Amino acid sequence: MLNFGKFLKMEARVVVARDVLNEEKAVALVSKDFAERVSLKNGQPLKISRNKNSVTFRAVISEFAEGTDIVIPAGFYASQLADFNAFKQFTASIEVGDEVDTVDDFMNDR
Amino acid sequence: MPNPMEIYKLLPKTNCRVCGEQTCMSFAFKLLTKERKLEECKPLYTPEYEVQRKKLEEILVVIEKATETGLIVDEEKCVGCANCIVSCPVHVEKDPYGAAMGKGITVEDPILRIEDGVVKIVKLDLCRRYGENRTLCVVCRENCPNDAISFLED
Amino acid sequence: MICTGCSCLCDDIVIRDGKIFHACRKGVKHLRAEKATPSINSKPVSIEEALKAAGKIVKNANNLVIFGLDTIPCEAQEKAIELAEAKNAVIDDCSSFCLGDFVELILKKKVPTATLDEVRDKAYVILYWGSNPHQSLPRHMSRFTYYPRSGKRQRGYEEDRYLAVVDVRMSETAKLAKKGGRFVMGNDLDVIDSFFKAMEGKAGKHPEVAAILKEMQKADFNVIFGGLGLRYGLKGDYSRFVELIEKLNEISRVVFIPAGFHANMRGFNELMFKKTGFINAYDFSSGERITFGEAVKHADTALVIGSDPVKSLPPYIAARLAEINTVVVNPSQSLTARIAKVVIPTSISGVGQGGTMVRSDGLTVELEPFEESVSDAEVIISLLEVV
Repeated sequence: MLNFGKFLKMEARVVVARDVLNEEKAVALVSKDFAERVSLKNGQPLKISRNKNSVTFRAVISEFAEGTDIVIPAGFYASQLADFNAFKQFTASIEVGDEVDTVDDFMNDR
Repeated sequence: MPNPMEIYKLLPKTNCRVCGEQTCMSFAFKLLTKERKLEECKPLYTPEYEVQRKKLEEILVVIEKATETGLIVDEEKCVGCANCIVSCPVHVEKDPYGAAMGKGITVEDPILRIEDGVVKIVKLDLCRRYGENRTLCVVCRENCPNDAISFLED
Repeated sequence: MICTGCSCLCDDIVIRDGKIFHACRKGVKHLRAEKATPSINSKPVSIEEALKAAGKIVKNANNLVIFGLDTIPCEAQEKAIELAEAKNAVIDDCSSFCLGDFVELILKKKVPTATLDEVRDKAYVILYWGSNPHQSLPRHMSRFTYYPRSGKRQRGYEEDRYLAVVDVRMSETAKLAKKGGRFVMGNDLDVIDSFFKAMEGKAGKHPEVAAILKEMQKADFNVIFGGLGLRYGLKGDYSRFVELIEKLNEISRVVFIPAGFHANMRGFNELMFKKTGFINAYDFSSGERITFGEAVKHADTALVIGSDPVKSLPPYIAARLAEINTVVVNPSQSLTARIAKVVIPTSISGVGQGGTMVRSDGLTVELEPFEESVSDAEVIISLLEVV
């Protein structure tokens, strides 16, 4: 069994979806199956990377990610990872994160 | 939601009848339905049962939040979709050209109403779970996919 | 009042004693958003100074791109199109990466459609495809589709409606469909194929679609709402989906409506279609199609109206907007305003400015403002005057 805790990089299917309750938050809904497969715990920081960009989300195990691996709310954080060719769905690499990102972490770099 | 057994285990289990109930188990049931208050169990308030009493107080906080019909609303989980309001059989009957048709509810004191983007309990008198001929209606909860609505018995 | 939080344009909102009644969480957030302040290079100025600075920037622009426009009334959109024409600029809105393609199918009459009021009064099968209205358009189901008891559908969702959802994952709407209808979890092209197979009496990858077909045959009015999931799932080729709708109409009446989007996206698409034959992403200098995402790479100036691309689009766009002369016209604080040269606050459509908007189904709605304050049309007219 793959142990996520050992900083192993893995591939995950990510879906971007509207989420009125979480749209301002760096929250990633994770399916129960996927969480079990990679030994990911509820609340753990989860770093998602794609195209040289990464965002660290707080993982929340949710029934609303069933059918895929991860669902992230449409909004600023999703925009850092998606592009016009993969606006709603993409594959990204994931690893254990450090601190959950905030909008200012990105905006202050600009 | 706590179950009667959990509560019973923390009571003195002496069936002393001071509270007016025949058994501690029946007192546990009535704490859940809010027909009895914890203070009515006098022995619990002696130093001997202090630890248990504190645990019971923690458990019963949830029940305090519940309304007379057992309805509990968690605003944090509500998106204000109004599925609960439009599907409520009482609202349909009382507001045939408003809520029944999907519009904002027009009756003066509805059971539920969307205020500032989330569902609020306005008045429970009309709820089918209230009063003498009550039924265990769960229509509002069934149509909330976010579990923003729950009942004490859940 | 009318809520302009999304393309449902809910017309039953009441504001009393500082409370907003009946609007969903999304609507309230939109109506209560923190107001922007006029600024030049992030320093607060008067609105007159900001307007003057914006006029100068737009006048001197050699390669202007105008973007956003979906949250402002048609009257202001018309002026923005006029400005784009006067400056030989590129103009685009969110529809080029949102549901513009679906609106185009309707404006070009490639699929049969209907109004949401007709859906409320007549529709039996309500199929949400690649759409989760519970989160994107919270009142869609309770106001127009699944829950209302109206017209020929008086027995409500219990008997007079059938909810179906096609999605790649379990959404809130899908959870409801599992109880009161059917949820098909799968890839859009596979599901389309399964529908075709089921109509031939064969089983495809998703044989459960046969149950949806059977329900459609029971009624003389059914509807498919297409969302962003479907739009991207089809990868730019809508022919197979259009064919499916044609074929479904041989067995029962099935109409198509785009699920929903920003308040007045459809209004912009309709105005552009009438004026240019394109629904969005148009370059007045070449007469060709170009999206904001492409145009911004070559532009020296961006006029962003009623939108926050730094929040909703890939980061290269934010980086580019920070490099060039960006003017933001928007009621609320936005991330794009943080990197803009000039910020001009306007009032929220339907609150401090009136006019008309077009709902997701094509119905024109007259806004009911109750305050007077700076409108987008006024700001764009003042820019037009300088140009």
